[in-house]
Amino acid sequence: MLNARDLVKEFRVARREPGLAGALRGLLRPRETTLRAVDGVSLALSGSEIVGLLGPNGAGKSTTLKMLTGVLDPTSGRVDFEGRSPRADRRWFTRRIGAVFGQRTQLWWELPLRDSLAAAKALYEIPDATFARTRAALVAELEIGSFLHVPVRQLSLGQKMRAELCAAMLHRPRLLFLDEPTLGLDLEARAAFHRVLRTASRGWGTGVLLTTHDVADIDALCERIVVICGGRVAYSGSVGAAKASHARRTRLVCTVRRSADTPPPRTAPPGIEMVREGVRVVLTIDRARATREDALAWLGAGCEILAEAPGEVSTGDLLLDLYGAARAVAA
Amino acid sequence: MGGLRFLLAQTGLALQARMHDRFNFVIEQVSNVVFYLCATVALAIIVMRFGRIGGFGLAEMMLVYGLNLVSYFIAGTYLWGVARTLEGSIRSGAFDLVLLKPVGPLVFLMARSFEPSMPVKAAGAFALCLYALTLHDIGASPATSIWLLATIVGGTLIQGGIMLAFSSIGFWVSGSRDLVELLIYGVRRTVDVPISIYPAPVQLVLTVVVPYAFVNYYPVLGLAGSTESAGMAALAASALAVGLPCAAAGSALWRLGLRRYRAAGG
Amino acid sequence: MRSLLALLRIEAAASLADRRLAVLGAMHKLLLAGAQVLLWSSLVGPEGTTIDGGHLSHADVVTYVLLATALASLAEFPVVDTINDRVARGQAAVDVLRPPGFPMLVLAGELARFVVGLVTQALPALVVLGAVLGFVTPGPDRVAAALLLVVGGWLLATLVGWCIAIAALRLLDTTQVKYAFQGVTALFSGALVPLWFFPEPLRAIAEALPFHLLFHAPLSVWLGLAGWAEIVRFFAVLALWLCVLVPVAVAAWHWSRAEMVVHGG
Repeated sequence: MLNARDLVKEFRVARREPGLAGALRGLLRPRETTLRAVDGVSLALSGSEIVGLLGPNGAGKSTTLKMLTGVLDPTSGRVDFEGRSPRADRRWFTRRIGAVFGQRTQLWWELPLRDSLAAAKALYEIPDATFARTRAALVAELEIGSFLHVPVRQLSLGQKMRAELCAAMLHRPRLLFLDEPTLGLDLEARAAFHRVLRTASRGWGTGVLLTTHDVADIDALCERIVVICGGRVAYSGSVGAAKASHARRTRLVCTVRRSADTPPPRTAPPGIEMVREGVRVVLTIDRARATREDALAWLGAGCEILAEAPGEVSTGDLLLDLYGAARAVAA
Repeated sequence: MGGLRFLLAQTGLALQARMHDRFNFVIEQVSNVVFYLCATVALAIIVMRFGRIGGFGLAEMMLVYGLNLVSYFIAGTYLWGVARTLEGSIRSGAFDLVLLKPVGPLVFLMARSFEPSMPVKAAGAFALCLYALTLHDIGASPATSIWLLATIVGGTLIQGGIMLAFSSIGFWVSGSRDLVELLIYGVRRTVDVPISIYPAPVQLVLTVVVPYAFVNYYPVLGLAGSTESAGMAALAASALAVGLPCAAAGSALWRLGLRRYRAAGG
Repeated sequence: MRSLLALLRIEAAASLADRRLAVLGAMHKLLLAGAQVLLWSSLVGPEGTTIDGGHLSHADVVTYVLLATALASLAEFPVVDTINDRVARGQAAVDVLRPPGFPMLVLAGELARFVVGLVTQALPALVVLGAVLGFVTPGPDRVAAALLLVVGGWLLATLVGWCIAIAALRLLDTTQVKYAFQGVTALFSGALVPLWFFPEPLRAIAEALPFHLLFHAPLSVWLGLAGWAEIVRFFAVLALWLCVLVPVAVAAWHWSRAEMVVHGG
C-alpha cells in the first residue's frame, strides 16, 4: 500500500563555535555542516498489518515518519501510496490516513470532546450514517463515552490520548501513523489503545505504523518491526525471527531449592543479570561477555540448583542487542 | 469548496461554544464597546479642540479611525489567532498534524482561530464609519456607500495580507510570536490618525512597505475630491486596487514559508 | 520588609530573564511614543498652545506625551491578568501556603514588573525621543512630588485592578470586563488626551473620578502647571481614595479567598 524507497534526508545546521569570539565569527561567516538524519531507508506497508518503527532516540524515526506522511520533503528517494505521491496528492492522501503524534493535540481544547469529533466529521466529510456507526464502535472500544461532554482541557492524559485516537480514526483511515502514542499512559488507556488498533487492523484492514519505546506495545501489537539506527534500517522482520537470529543475550531459567540462598544480584559478574521470583531464577547472559557456565557457576556457588532450562529472550533485550550491533557496525 | 464548508462548520461550532455562557459573552462585548467608545471620544475631543488634524476634520478623522478598525476586525476574525499561534504550533510539532488534514493548512488554522468578538467589534466600527460618512461634506449617497464597502473590502485584504505576511515570519524565526504581535498590533495603530502628520520617510514606509495608508488615508483623501478629478477618484478607489496585490503577496509569503518548512522541518 | 525586598528582586530578575522580550517591549514603547509625539507635535505646532492654567510649550507637550506613554500600564490593570493566570493555573493554592501570602506575592510581583517595565522599556524610549525632540525636567521638589504621586497612583490602580479581578472571577467568570475599565481609565485619566483639552462637562467628570490621579496629577506637577495648593489637594484626594479602596480590597480578598484557591488546579 505504502512504499518508500531509498529515503534520504539531509539538514544543514549552523556549527556553533564556543566563546564570544566564536559567536561573533558565526554571525559574520556562519559555518554550515550537512547532517544526514536519514540515510537510505526503504520500507513497505500493507493493509491490516501493524508495524513497529523502532530505534534509539535520534535514530531518524520521526524524520522518516514525516517523510512517509509527506510533511517533510526527502532530499532524495521517493514515497508512493497506491501509486500516488503523498506530497503531490496531499488532499487525496490525507483523507485516507490518520495520525496521532505524541502529545500534540488536534482536539479543540475549550470544547467538549463531542464537538471535536463533530469537527472531524466535517473535516473528512464523513456521511451521517457512517459517522454514527464508526463513532459508536470507537467510543465503545476506547471507553470514552463517559466524558464526551467534558471540555478536552479537563481530561486526564489517558482520556485525552484515547480521544485523540478516536478523532484520528473516525474516517476509517487506510493507514494510521502513530508517533509514541502511549507515552505516559496508564494501564487502562494502554489496553484500550491496543484493543482498538487490533480491531481496526482486523476489522477495517487498517495498516498501522507505530513508533514506540515501550516493549509492551511491541509485544501486544507488532507483527513486524523495522529497526532504524543512525538513519539506516538495521533490521526488518518479525520479532520472533529477530530473537532467533539477532539476539546476543540468552536466558536461563533455573529452579533453586531455597530462594534465600541465592547470591545478591549486585554481585553478578559482568554480562550476567539475575531476576528472582521465589525459587524461580531468571539469568540473562550477554554472550559476548559471559558464558552459560560462568552464570551457573556463580549461581550454584552458594545454593543448590534443582533444574535449568533455556528461556526466551525478552523483546527489550533483543532491541538492546539490535541497537548495539548497529552501533558497532557504524563504528 | 470543501475548505469553505469546513471553515463555516467550525465557525458555527466555535460560536456555539462561546454562546454557551450568554451572559459572559454579552459582558465581554459590552466591555469591548466601552473600550473603543472611550478611544473614539478621546479622538473627538482632540478634533474638537484643535480643529483639523493633518488636514482632516472630524468626519474624515472618524472615517480614518473607523476604517482602520473595521478592516482590522474583519481580517482579524480568522487571522489574528493564526498570527498568534503559528510559531508555537511549529515549535511544539503540532503543525505537522495540520499538514495531515484534508484541507489547506491555512484554512485549517483559520477555522481554529475564529474569534467571535471580532465581528461584533467590526459591526461597531462599521456603524462609526456610517456615522462619519453622514457627517462628511460629501454626504451619504449610493455612490459613497459603494465607496465605503469597496474601501472596507480593500482594507480587509490589506490588513489580512499584512497579517499573513507577518505571521509567516514564524516559519523562519523561532520564538517570533511577540515580534509578530508587535508588528501587527503596534504598526497598525500608527494609521489610527492620518499619515500626513508623520515625516515623509514614515509616510513612505506606510505607503510602500506596509501599505496600511491605503486602508484609510488615501481613500478618505480621495473621497472629498472624487467628483472633481479622475486622479482623486482613483485615489478614493485605491484600497481595493492595493488590497488585491497585498493579499496575494501575503499568501505568496505564506506559501514560501510552508515550502521552507517542508524542506527544513520545524 | 526584607522578605518583600527579596521578593521584589526575584520578580524583577524573572521579568528581566527574557531579554528578547525586553527588547521587543522597548521597541513597542518607542513605536507608540513616537507616533503619539508626532501626532501631538503636529497638533500644537512649534509655538505651543494656551490652556486655562497657562501656556504649554512644544517641549511641554512632548514631555507630557512621553511620560504618559511611559506610564501607560497604569491604565491597563495588568494585575487582573496576573490574578486570573495564577488562579487558572492553580498557582494561587500554592501561593497561600508561602509565608508572604497571596496578596503580598501578587503586589510584589506587580510592583517589580511596573518598575522593571519603566526602566527597561519606557526609559529607552524616553531618552531617545526626549533627546531628539526636547524634554522638560523640573526642580527636584517637583520631581519628588510627581514620583510620589506615581507610586500612590500605582497603588490606586493596582487596588482597583485587584477588585476588578476578584469580582470578575467570582461573579462573572470573565476577566474581559477589564477592557471597559481600561477604556474609561485611559480616557478620564489624561492618558490619551490631557485633561486641559477636555470640554467642561467631561473635565468635571474626570476630576470627580479617581483616575485623574494616575496621569493628570503627576504630569501637571512635573510640568509646573499645578501650584503647591493643588499638589496638596492631589495628595489629599489620593489618600482619601486609598482609604476607601484598601478596606474594599481586603474585604474582597476575604470574601473570595476560599473559592480562588480551589479554582483551577
